[in-house]
Amino acid sequence: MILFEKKYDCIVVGGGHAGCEAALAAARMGMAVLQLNLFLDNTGHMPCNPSIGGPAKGHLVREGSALGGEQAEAADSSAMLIRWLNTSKGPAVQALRAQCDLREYAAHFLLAIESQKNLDVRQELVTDLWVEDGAVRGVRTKYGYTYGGRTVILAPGTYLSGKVYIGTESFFSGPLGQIPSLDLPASLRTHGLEMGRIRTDTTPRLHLDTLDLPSLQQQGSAEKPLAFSLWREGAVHEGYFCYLTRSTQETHDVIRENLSRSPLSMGWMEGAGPRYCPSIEDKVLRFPEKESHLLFLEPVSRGNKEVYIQNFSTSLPLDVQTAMVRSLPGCERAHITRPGYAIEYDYVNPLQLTPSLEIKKISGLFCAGQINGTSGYEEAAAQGLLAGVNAALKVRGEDPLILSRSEAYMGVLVDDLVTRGTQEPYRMLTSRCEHRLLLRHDNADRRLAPLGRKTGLLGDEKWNFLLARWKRIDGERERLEGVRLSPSDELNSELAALDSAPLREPALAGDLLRRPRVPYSLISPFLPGGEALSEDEGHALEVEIKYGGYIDRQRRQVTRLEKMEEVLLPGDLDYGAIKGLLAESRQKLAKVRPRTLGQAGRISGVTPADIQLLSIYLNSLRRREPCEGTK
Amino acid sequence: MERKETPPPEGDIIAAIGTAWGEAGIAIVRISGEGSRELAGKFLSLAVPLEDTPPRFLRNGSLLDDKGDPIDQVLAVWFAPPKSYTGEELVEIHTHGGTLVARKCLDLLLCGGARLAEPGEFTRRAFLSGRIDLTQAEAVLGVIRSRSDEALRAAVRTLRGELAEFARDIYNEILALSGSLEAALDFPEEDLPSGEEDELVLAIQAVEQTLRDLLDRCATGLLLREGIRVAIVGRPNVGKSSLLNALLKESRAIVTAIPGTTRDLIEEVITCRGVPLRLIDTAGMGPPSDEAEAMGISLAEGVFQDADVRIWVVDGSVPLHPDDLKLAERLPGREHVVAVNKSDLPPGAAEGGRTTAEFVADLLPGSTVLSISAKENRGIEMLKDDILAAIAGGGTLEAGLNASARQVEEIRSAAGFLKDAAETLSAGMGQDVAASSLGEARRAMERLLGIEKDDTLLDYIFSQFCLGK
Repeated sequence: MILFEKKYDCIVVGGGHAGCEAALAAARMGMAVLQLNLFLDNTGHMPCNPSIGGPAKGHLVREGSALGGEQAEAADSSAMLIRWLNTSKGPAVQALRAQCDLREYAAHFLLAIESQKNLDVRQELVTDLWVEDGAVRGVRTKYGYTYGGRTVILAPGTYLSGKVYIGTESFFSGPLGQIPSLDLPASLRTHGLEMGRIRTDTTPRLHLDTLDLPSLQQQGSAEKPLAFSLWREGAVHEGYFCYLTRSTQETHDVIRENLSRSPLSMGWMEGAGPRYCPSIEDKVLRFPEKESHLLFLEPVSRGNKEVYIQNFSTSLPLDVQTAMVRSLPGCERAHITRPGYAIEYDYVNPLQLTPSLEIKKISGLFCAGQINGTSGYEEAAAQGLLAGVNAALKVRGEDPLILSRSEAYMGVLVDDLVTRGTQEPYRMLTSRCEHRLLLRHDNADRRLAPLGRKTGLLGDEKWNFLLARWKRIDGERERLEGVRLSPSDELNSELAALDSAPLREPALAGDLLRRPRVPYSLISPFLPGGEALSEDEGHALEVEIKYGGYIDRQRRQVTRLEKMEEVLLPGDLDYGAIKGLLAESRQKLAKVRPRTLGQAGRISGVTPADIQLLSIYLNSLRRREPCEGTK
Repeated sequence: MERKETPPPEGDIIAAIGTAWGEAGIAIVRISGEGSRELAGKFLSLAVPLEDTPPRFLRNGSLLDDKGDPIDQVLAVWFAPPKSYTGEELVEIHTHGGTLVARKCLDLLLCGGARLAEPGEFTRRAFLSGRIDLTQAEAVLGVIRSRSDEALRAAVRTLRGELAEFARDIYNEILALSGSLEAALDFPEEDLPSGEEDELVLAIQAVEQTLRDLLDRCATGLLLREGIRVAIVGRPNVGKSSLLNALLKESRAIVTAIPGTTRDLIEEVITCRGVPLRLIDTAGMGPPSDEAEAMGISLAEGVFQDADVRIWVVDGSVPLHPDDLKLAERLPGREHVVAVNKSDLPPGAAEGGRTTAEFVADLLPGSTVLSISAKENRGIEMLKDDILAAIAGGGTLEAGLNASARQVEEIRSAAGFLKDAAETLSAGMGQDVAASSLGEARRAMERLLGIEKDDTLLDYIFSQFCLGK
């Protein structure tokens, strides 16, 4: 083994969504970073549907943008079509979803990586961790080098002992066609990490020219300019569409006839798959009463003619996939360019992580993305960003960046993983967030940009841009709360059109905006003087004012819980010494080692009485210790 | 009355009934936290208002309901911080007329913004404010653990049978409403079965009404069905039924048969010194066939294990039977009283002797054993006292009282959140906002039913709806 001449602050293993965000964040914070990727052409690769966003996932992307992440830029620069979802369902669940060009998306990341100061990237296959005295020192690779690093971030995606299943065939592989990482998992086990097995599937891809698209309903891009990134104007995308089709009775018959060749129904795979994204054979088995399932045909790139079938993932044999595909309306003559498959891989039980995504028993070792049991590009990128920031903060000797559940979807994601673990691929959902009304797409900048600024990821230009934006919104808010609008025929006819009562006497503009259904855009033309806000800023203000009562209520709930979040638990707390704890709670607390009293309360099976006991025990510890410094 | 937002904890106002269940004497409702005096003042009409009364000065006056009508004569006193049990501002209201008034008083305070104290919370606050010193800390841990366990047992006990089934049905309805709404929010591109919003409003309002009806029933007597479970156990023909009849005859309060609770078991409710007792006679099981007998035995076994206290009836006119000894072995560690019956009968000549109370007391050291005659009504009053003493020893009475108050509070809170959800939807303020309120209602019902937090909602969504990516 040859020790590489340069020693790094941070070594990132992996070049996917988590690895790229981690490498960029750490390098931008001034760290000397080395990114090792087993195949450079796969930087920022999207092996499943090249779609970014949707409820909860879109929130994560926007939050990443506010913290100084790159995914929003990659998605915006490669979007083929983009639109709002859930616009009629309330302010908290509205989200963007884009269909991206997978080549342009990956190219964006590759160029960003290659152009980044302080960041070296190299094609290498990591085989072993270098750990001494409970701290990581670096990694060893297949090609004979040992690289020294103060911190290591593992972001190996589905490659750890990856195994692909297509019908009765199965073999070790990364995403179909890629080499897997077979040595690293054994090294992780040797170093005492508890590993599990998990699974996900993807769909066959079709050749565009073999589809009968005119017969299908199409879905286009939004007509207004849209963007995930806080720093972009937004763009209108034209020329590409998604198409709707459905599975048929014939599809279901083909599936049922071939279950004896299905790795899923035959139980050949050991890893648990995601319940929210079941394969089509799983759906047919579990919901036999459903006659048809909605499917989307979606383009994957401007640069080639492959089409993805959303909701049609499968691990049935290729001949069965062909018959299934041809039973779909519009796909009677379809040609499959690559088969769908299931992939099973090793993950690290995330209960072994601290909330800064560091492995508790190996100082300086961080994990991000699918290795932690999550699925999805957005979930991966979010963790990568946090792991990169926290590795850099660790090198600097500063406190980690830990987001609370009331602060960000990212906070919920990490807290769920490290407090409750996961047995199936974890996907972000808005219903996982108990403070959903506070965690909106429209206020991600207010929630997180100050933290991005503090870590150094947001430069002056971006920061000043936001300061100006907030100043405009706050100014307009004051104006609305100070100006009275007089009744006029024009105003009242606009109100009548919305089924809202006419004004009889002058009313505060803010009060008018508090009425259900009345938008800012209706009120702004009637305001004397001053300039109206842009649509985007106007929306942010409208939500704050209209939903102020509900938002305040959730904020009060948060204040109530915050006290518990502020009580830190010592890392070496001896749970065996606390009288009265239930044996099961004691065990779980010792395993999770929660950082705060609040986190302790979220461990499943730990009761409110246990929390009271903990709090009293902490208090008695504190009283026993004489105050430092004074006297 | 609607529930109100409670202010932040540690310093927020907590309340609970501090005394045990019973008609004798008085019941004390305790209120602690800054603003306790002002809150209590809203429901009191005293000769001199509390705010003009010096601390530790007992005042006479009336307890008023939310409309300002007097309910009962009470005494009230307040303690200024830090010289109170908890070290915080603390008020005590001493009610007459038994626990029903105390419950009403507690109810008023909870509706006025107080929070029902967690088990052991007064003691915890006393410790945190330094009123209890460090050497007592471990004792505090013990108090909290045991109070919580009692509260848990009491909650399970009060929520049984018909009420539990009813509450679970309501919970399932809320879960279904919440689940379909959340699924539509998280998976907007799926073809989920989506109802119209106004249908949803009607459905939510219907569940809310069911909860309100349940609240009314709780207030008008359903709570009488809670109470301490007393199992009458023993071999056949030792006089269990006669004892049950004797207890019923003596009781001066309402006697109600509870229909349909447990088949093949006779269950009666009496109040004894103000404490509702559910008497369960395991003698109701006849052995017409082997199958039925087996079922009867398993029922009796369940009653034996779940009961708060057991009356072991022994036939004093004959020597102990091997079956008696088997039962006796299982009593230590479980609250019980032994009644040696048939003190009116002469010793069975043929069997050679009788079983005396002294003999049983030797057999079960530390147990309360007394000699009675169910037939002639001798020793019944003493038996009642002993039953109450056995329960009071474990602190079960107070826990039971507060447990049912907590349950009423959860039901009220669930109803309030459903109302919010329906109003939000009707006003067109967004399904996500309504979904949050539904979620709160769901969590209140989960606490009521003792369902572990975790993944019930997601489990429901993934099992009911076929979802893609």
